[in-house]
Amino acid sequence: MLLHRPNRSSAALSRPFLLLLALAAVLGLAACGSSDAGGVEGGTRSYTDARGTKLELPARPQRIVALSEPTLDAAVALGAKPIATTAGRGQGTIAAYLQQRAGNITSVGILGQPNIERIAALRPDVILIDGTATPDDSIVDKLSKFAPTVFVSKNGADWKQAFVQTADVLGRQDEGKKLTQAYDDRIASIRAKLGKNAGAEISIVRWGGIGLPAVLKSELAAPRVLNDLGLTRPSFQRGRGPGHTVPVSLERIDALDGDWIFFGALGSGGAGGGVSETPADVASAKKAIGYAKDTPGFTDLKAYKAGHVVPVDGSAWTSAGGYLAEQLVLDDIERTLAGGAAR
Amino acid sequence: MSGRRVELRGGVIRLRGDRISLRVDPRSMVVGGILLVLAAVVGVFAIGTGDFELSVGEVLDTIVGNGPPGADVIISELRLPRLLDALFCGAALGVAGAIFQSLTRNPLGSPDVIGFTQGAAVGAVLQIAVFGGGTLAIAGGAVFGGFAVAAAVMLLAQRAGGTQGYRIVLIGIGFSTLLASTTAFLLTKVSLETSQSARLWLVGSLNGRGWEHVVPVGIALAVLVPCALVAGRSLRMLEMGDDTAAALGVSTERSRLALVAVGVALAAVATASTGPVAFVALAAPQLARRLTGATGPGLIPSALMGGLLLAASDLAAQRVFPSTPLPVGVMTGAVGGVYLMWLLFNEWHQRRR
Repeated sequence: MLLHRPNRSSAALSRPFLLLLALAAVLGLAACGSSDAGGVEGGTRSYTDARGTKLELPARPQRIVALSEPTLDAAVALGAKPIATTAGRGQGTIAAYLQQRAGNITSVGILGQPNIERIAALRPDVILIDGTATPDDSIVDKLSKFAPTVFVSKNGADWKQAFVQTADVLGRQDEGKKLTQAYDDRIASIRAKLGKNAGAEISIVRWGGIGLPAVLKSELAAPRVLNDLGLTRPSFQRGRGPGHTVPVSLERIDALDGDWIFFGALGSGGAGGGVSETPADVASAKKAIGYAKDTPGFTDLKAYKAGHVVPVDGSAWTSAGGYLAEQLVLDDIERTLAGGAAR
Repeated sequence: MSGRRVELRGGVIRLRGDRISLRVDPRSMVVGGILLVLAAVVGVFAIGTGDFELSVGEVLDTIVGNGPPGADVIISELRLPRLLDALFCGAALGVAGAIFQSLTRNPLGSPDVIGFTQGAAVGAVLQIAVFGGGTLAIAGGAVFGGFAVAAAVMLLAQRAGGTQGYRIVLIGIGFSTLLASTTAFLLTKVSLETSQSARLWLVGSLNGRGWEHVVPVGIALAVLVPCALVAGRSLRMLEMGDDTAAALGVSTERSRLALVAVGVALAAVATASTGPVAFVALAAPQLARRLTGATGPGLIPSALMGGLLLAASDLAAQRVFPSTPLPVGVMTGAVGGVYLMWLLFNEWHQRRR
């Protein structure tokens, strides 16, 4: 019965809707008329970034927004005091190892979803992104309307090269050269002190202790540092992986073994890898090792029996790479492998 | 809503010797007007407020074309396209939801429940995770995925004597689950960064949406909504069942196919633009139907409600927790879900009296 009630509101209402559409179109056309790249005063230079985009950069940018962990790390290492950044990958805050060094830095959202308007309000000189920051062209496109947005390096590229690039973008080539020299010197000095640990097999594990453990293959930064030191990797962890980390079945827990295991926690470690609040510092790695002990086979690993499972800062060890992160990696290695730490 | 029913008399407008006739339901008109006003209010807030501080005067100056430097980019490249994208995508989802809920004669028959949105998601995640495609490729993947799944569902739901609504819903839910696991599988196979950005896409976000998103959705709306309105006439008949519709002179299978095509296109285009925003397609037609008290599919009220819902959710998502703006998909679930539950509760409560 109700079905007989006349109702054709839809067609009648379409007129105001079309008006709205028309209004939108007019506003859209008006918007297309003006675009403005923002004022950059004298002393600019042209620069071509890692994706081939040609940019005009200030000679020595002061107001720097770093939208990824490696670029933030590099900027801080170079003494540039960046003004804003996003939360680290797999973490709710900025990377644990950078928190103190970066000081009181403005947060502009989470990795990959920066708050464009807030960044614009900070009026940056330069915005740093890389393969780990955002693949979303529409966001990059909007950001570059407010400041030159430099794509520093692709995912999985050599961290040292990315660091040199960042130094170049920030107009701090001299500081960059000094720091890379310092890194090389430090490598040589630690390498000389390795003693019987020279050429040892080093396993890098990322595990919250529950769920599946993951290991790092060779393309990330920490494995490259190990390589610089002449250290080797367990056979399962050699070569390039399909991605950031490689999950390991609990039945193949022997794939975690090596002469030493550097054990870091980061994220929930589950499938999908969403943002979690799991801290990535040394304390949480210790806690994770506590859980891992309950996993059958973990206490049978030769590194465990030898007392060679080292809790480390997961945010630094599994980082895509950064000068300060690698200093922490070197600290851990120097303390355990080169500090006269005997078996 | 308050228990007192507004009874307004309907009328019929006839033009040129019955060649064009419109039935007018005053209550739907009033509801539609209110929704438009609310959308306008949301729009004023969306354009007038934000992290980049601009006074009301500066905003007005900017719209006229002589605002302070930098402000025109904020307004015309960030806030305005974001608002319009929300309104358009919400409207597209609302219409798509209304079409499918009518076709299946089941409120669960909306594209986000019966797998079409999930199909679009798989298409997009394949682009993000496996092929590493850019914005256009992601949008293309979403549209393709939506259509592929719709075709599969409709083929499987078909059988001699016509397609039945509940079969579409059941098969669609099966597909939805299958596709959700496919997406989860794809996410485990890629790097943490890629999977994180794919996840953000999967929640649905309007961050960074610009004219390059607004224009395709606007064109799709301009083409598809009139098609939906024309096809909507047979939709009212189909709602009464295939036999009745056929008896009234509707070619049931052909109309259904046309409606499905329009509905899938709308859902896929919106999903390509924002990611699979949950709940709008499900809730908007239900809310619109209850507010207008109308019996038909109510395509235009659904469109208005969808647009309002998405724009308001996006505004809330940006402003409620200023330090960590939420993706809009998180908000639509909360805003639309609570309102729908309240409406249903109210309805049952009144019926029991």
